[in-house]
Amino acid sequence: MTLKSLAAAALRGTARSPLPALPPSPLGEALGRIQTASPEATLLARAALSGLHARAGLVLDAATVLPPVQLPPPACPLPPQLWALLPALLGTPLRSAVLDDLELGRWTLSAAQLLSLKNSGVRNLQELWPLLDERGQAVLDGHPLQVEWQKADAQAQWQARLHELQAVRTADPSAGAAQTLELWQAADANGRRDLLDLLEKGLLADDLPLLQHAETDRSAEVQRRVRMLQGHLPGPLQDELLALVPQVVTTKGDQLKFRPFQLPEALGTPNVGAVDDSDLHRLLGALPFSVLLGALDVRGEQLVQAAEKKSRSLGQQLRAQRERERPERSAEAQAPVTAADAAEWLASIQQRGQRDPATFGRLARQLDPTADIAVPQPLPFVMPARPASLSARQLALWEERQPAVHHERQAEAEAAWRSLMEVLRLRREWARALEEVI
Amino acid sequence: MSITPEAAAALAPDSASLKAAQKLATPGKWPTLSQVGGVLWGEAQGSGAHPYLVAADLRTSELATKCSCPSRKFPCKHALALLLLHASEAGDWKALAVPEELSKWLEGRQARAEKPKTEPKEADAAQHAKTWAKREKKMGAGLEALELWLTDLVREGLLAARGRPYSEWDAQAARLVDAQLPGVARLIRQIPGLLHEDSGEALTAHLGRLYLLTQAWQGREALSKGERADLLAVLGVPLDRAACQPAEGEEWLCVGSVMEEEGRLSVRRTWLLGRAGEVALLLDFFTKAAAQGQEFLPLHQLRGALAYAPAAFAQRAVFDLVEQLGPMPLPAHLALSLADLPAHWAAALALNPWLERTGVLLGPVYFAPGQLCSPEGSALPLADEIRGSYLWYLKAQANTELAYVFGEWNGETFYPLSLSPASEARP
Repeated sequence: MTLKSLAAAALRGTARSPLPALPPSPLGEALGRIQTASPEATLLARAALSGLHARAGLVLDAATVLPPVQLPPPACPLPPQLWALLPALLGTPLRSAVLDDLELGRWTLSAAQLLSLKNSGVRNLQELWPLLDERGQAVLDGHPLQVEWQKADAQAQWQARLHELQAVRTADPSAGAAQTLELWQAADANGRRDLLDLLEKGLLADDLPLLQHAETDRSAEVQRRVRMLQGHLPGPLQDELLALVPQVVTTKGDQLKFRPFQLPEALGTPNVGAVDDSDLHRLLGALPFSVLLGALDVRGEQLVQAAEKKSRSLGQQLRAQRERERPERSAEAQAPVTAADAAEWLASIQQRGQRDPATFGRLARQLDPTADIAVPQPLPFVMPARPASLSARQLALWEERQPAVHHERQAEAEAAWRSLMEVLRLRREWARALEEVI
Repeated sequence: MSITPEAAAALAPDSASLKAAQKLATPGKWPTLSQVGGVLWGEAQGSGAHPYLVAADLRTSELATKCSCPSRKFPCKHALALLLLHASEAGDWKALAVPEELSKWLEGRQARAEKPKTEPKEADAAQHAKTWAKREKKMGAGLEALELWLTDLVREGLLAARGRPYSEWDAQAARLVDAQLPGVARLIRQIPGLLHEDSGEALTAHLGRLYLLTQAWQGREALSKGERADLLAVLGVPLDRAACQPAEGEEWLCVGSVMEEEGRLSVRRTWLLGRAGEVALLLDFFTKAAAQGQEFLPLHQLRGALAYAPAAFAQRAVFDLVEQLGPMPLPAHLALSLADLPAHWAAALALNPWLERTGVLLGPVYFAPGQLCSPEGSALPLADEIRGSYLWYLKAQANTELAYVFGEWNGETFYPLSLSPASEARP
């Protein structure tokens, strides 16, 4: 109260306001003993003492939360030899293998370790959330990483569900189509797009009820795709399209031409403002690619290139259709990787200046970690073939730049070699550390 | 001298430098890496045609780095990256001859390290007295003018003061700097930040504090030696290191440090804890472009000679490092409980009414949003900056246990600097 009343007086000024009365307290008595020559000095001296009294009179607050429940220490913390290597390894193509090793060894991380990885700039840390020990999960409850992990986990579970669904659709089409319809009705917009991707890869005759149900979906994109998919099923619509397509796509010598036409009503009305939607997009997208080629009696690449000349998005759509019908490649090439592959990769960087991350990943994971890979020796500079389309001035600038471009490529190849050596070294260290702890 | 990744990271002048250094700390970006004795050097590939030449001298406890890049930060991201690479044993380190551009620098450092330390000249007592008398006169005049200025302020009223331009407060501060009262000038520069608080209490108390300085100066002959030293310190008279009587080499625990900007200077406050619970504060001042000198790692033991500056409440000290020892957790048996803090703080203020902050070891405690809490249900407010990633970091260190925490208490908020969970603290 004293400092408040002194402040009120100070705000108004002693010229306009008397000094406040002293409170009946030990502080008031102490303030009353201050003797000065002027009201201003008295106010300031009392403010000094009151301020000091307030600073010294600390009163503790009440805690707003209860003490944490102390959880038991982790049963299987990550051994220090592995922890020392982990931050570096998580930034390399060896990441998945390392995480698999940790899962296999049932080792856990503490909250402090996870935050340390975050501070080191390690990405996609939500993948490591399941490795947290019990204490770590309690400490970081509510942390943004937990939210990211929950989203990533939900997405992974959804992908697993789709994978199961695909298996059911293959084994029992009728049951698979029924489950797909059920899942469609519960799914959100993103989920429905994923289900459409599934249908586009392997449509079943029993999917027709779903397609018809989805014709009136809120999303214009969903409506467009389900209408086109209906043409993929044998029936009156497909027959109509097969009769129409040869009239629309005609051959003149080696060239394909696209004629005007009336889009069948069943395919709906294209969105006028959309780059990737038109009568032609819908017509050509409404038939399986192989069936389309059969109806036109043309090669796939010929059709795609003609479509690209007409419209880039149309070409992209046809490429995607063709890709969907190709058999899936295996996840990784099975041929063993050797030092010669590494040398070839480095040589390609010296020529083109760009690293291929997929090759680097394969080398990092599969190359013998003790392989002896020679550092790439810089290639002598040879002026490349001059581009025909440049003016004289542009050509002069281009020629001036080429030695520097060549030098950058040689430096990039050497940097790539150092990166590869470092990853192989980490692989050896990790293997050695695993042997020590297992 | 070897260096750990944590020690290397602690040298970063700011978080942006550390992040940049972490990205650079990949062997692929270093065409050359070399270690010869305690000298590291390498070539870092930058965006230019030629790599930067980077070196770090680890031969003594005074780490030094050098780089040919144009950055004004010290150490730059290249030097930090070199240290990070070395600390994590990444890359292919060879023993290559040091390039000529670096050998001169290294030879100069070697020569300075070997140069015998010259003893300080004996102060000319008469000259010192004359200089001091001149300074005292200026300070006295400055404080007399300040007293008049303060009384005018409260006569007119603080509401009217709210309308004054900032340049007026700066001008008053400048007059006090001219009067060789930089500490008081700093207090004047805090006024604009308090002017518009509705109740006016904080400003009134602050002005009271300034008035107390003027009165204390007038009555300085009646003060004890320690009280007079505290008064001179708050007025801004630099510490006379010769007046500090160094003790024998002892072991101290570094319990944390804080870096703050004060105008054109950066100030680092480093706290040490003695075996019997004594707290010592080391102050280091740098210009922003200058090297930051030795920084001690928190929760690492040091051996050295510490001397407290004369004061009624012993806190500020100077320290001559002899040796850096290994890591050590906080000592639980020396901790105060939260319930003890009010009396401890009041006793400190009674000895030095101008004390801005004190270092204190508290425990066992735990963290809540915005609070440091005790199991008995009481709490202290945490400093505003303790939120986000730093609070998560502290909670992760405690790891669901109660903990012992050393930090700064300024009378209003607590700023934690180091922590040991109860299971790891020394009993």
